[in-house]
Amino acid sequence: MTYHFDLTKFGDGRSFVERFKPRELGNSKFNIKVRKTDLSLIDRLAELTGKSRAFILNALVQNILMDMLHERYEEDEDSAALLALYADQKLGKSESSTDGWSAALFGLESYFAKSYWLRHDDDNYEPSEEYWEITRRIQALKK
Amino acid sequence: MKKTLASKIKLSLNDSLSETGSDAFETITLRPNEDVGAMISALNELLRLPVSTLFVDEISKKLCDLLLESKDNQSIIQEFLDEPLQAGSALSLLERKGAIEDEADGEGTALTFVDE
Repeated sequence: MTYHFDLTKFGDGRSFVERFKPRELGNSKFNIKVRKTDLSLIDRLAELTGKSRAFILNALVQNILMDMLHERYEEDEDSAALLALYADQKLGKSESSTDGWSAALFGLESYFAKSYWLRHDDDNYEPSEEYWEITRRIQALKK
Repeated sequence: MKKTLASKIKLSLNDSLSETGSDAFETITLRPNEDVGAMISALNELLRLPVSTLFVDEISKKLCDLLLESKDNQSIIQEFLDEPLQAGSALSLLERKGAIEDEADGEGTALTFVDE
């Protein structure tokens, strides 16, 4: 049986394979400058927590990138959304993936959590007894 | 794409870091996870932000903010107060914010945490 393709029915978007194939990011590395005293502080933190300098730096950078993306969102929602989408696509994700930068920016995963904690701002909101009990335990653990 | 005046100035200042005061900085090779790598590449490719100096000030600011989050951080801060504070570093930002204060009597550096 011979089939013919009607190319007018197909779009110009990313291919099936391209959509799901992460790009060449596996071993990406970047040289970054850090102030020496900041690095000393990070090294001390590494000593105190038993984590490596690299682990702490990566965590800081991830946190910073999230802040930068949110700051941009405040200035210009459109470019922030596009940056997030571009990064997601590099990872083979789409804007509707629940674990990508777009999700982090638009709060897909944290929407319900945020809604919940907003209730605490209401003067009339009274958390349960169990809530207070767990709060006390958390405070005790911190001492 | 839109760039605020502040971010342009910051980029310009960051660019100059690579040319002056190199003793004050250390170059570290960051091997981030894929998510982080993708966003760093995106910032570099789409906004033309130079990766090498992108995080210099941001790391200082983030460390400063994290240190300010708890009074329990006083002890770790204290460990670094024997040396002069490096300009722009997390500790100098603490001083700029008034969280630590250099005592005028020359008997050392006194810590004052701002109560929220």
